Amino acid sequence: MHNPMLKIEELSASVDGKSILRGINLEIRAGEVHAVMGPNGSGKSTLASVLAGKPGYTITGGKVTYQGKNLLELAPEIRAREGIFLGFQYPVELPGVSNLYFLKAAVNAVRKHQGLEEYDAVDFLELAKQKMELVELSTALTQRPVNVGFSGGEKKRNEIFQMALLNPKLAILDETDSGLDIDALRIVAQGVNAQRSPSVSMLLITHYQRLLEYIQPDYVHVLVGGQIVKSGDHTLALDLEEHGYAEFMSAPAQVGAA
Amino acid sequence: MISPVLDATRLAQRALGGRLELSGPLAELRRQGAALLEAKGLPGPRDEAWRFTSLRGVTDVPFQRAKASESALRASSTPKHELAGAVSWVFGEVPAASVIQALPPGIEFWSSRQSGPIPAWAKASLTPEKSASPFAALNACELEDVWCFRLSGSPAPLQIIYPGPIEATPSMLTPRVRVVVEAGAHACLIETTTPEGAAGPSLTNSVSEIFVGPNAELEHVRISLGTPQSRQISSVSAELTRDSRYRSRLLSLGGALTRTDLTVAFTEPGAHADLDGLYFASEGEQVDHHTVVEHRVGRCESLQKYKGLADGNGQAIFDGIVRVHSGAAGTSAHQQNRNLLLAENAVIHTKPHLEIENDDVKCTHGATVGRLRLDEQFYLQSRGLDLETARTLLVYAFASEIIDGITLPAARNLVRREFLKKLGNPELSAELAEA
Repeated sequence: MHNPMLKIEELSASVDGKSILRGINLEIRAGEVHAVMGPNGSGKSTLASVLAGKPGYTITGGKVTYQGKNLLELAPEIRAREGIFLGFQYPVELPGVSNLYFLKAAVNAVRKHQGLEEYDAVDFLELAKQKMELVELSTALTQRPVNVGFSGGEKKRNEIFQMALLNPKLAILDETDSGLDIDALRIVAQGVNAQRSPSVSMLLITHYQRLLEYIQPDYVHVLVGGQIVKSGDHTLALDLEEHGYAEFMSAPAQVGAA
Repeated sequence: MISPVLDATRLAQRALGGRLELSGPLAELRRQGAALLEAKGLPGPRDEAWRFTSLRGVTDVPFQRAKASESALRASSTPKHELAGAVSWVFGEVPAASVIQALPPGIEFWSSRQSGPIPAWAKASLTPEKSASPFAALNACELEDVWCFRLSGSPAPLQIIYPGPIEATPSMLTPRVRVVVEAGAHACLIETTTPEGAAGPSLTNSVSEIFVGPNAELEHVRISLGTPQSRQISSVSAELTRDSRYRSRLLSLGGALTRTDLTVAFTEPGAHADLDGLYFASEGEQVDHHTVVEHRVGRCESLQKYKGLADGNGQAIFDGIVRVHSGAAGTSAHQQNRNLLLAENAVIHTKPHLEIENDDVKCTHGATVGRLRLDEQFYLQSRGLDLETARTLLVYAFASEIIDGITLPAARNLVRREFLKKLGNPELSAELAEA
């Protein structure tokens, strides 16, 4: 691939007048897996939210190009239909709305947008059955209302199940590892790894290196004070595990290039 | 001479002055209703129980008694809100003797229009209630018939449909029903008020009395649908005897005004009342639920869960009182009211309260008013759903707890369909139902 899947240039954003992202630069090509690590409050989740179009953030500078399009001017649902998936740290519960109904509506909205034929109930169920094995979700769980009564691990597995069905080109996983025990982490990682391919890019947002033992990234970036202060390969994550973020925290964050 | 307004005194005088027949089985009810009406009149904004509810369109309209609504409806077709598998009767003309005799086992019927002796089980329907509310008194005063049903064993679900009047001029219907659930019976009663057939402004002023016998169980679903010209005022009361179980589901899904007063009284220990409500006021609509739960005796449990929505300039009211009387030790009473405002100009009033005169009780109450959360909308949008679908699903998710609490599938599906129709997304209902 010549053009990057995602190109972030000097991206700055604020919430309630408070500056959170201060000039992020990042390029992700098709098939690459990037991890963004950083201490609490560094802007990791803000980056994920801004890319997916969550309301409440003000873009104060820079631009984001996704598959040649100006991403920041697209509505959140259009970003989703164009192939962006955000795995939530705290997925929403929807009483009375079955997981399968919800996902069929979502998948068909995406397929319609992409000019593909919409699934009928039978075909969709067939597809769902294949994907639920991937994350070891039971049929019963997928027919229950979306995330209602799910354990923390089940919610995260459900996110990866959704990702598998939506078949994104760029998957952003926001702290997908948080609150998971070792078995749930393994299952989630196995689901993510099964979706790695030369045409799919991933951005993993995480606080700990633990997830990256299971999903080895091509690149690791350290985000501190709303800026990427260091980038490297997967061994950078191991350094961070050993030494923490202290060395980056002590130096005052540089102000992004004007 | 037609009075310019619905004039309580004039109506009462007409009744007392002999314009209405004051002999026959309904005489006492009418007399008492007229006396109450004459003494108190119809309520206005200064009455505490009517403080938030505008009676414009009710007390300033010269409603006349509706005629022939039912025969017209019968002639047209099967009413569209008839539930599959239920015995569905349209309130109005008394059905032919052959129809009454053909009722399935466990359902008996008596109307005050029938000749012959009054069955013992139906007699209480003719005894006036001394503390009737003004509109219940108006109902008694304007009454033409009382319908009574006795349910025993495990009868088929019983549905009573209140249609709209066919007159183009302002017309008033005053249905009155008493349902007696015999000891040990398991029954289901559905009352459906529908504007179907209504041509002009209408007022349906109904009274429903429920008696649940010892160790009996009743699911009582009331579905109120309406039009911009229809107004409904309902007085519902239930008496619960030893070890009985009563599930009330009040669904107010349309009409210029839908006011329901529900009174549940525990008269013997060991009974359980599970009272759910769902109300939705859209543009130009007022919905008002007043509940009174009387724990007169001990060891009874009441659970109230009311959920409300207001959109456009709609106004929704919940006012609930739980009274635990001094002798009612071991009472458990819980009351919860949750509301969702869907528009800037929508209004919600909520007033839950407890009056407790006994220390040995477990009581809780709470009320919330909120809006749809942006982060929840975003979750659905991030899966490719447009904002409108996202909002529909979130509103449905809010209401589903009450909708799914209706045990009878046919009634649950009707409510889901009407709810989603009101949300402007009727095609969703089939898919959500199948899922």
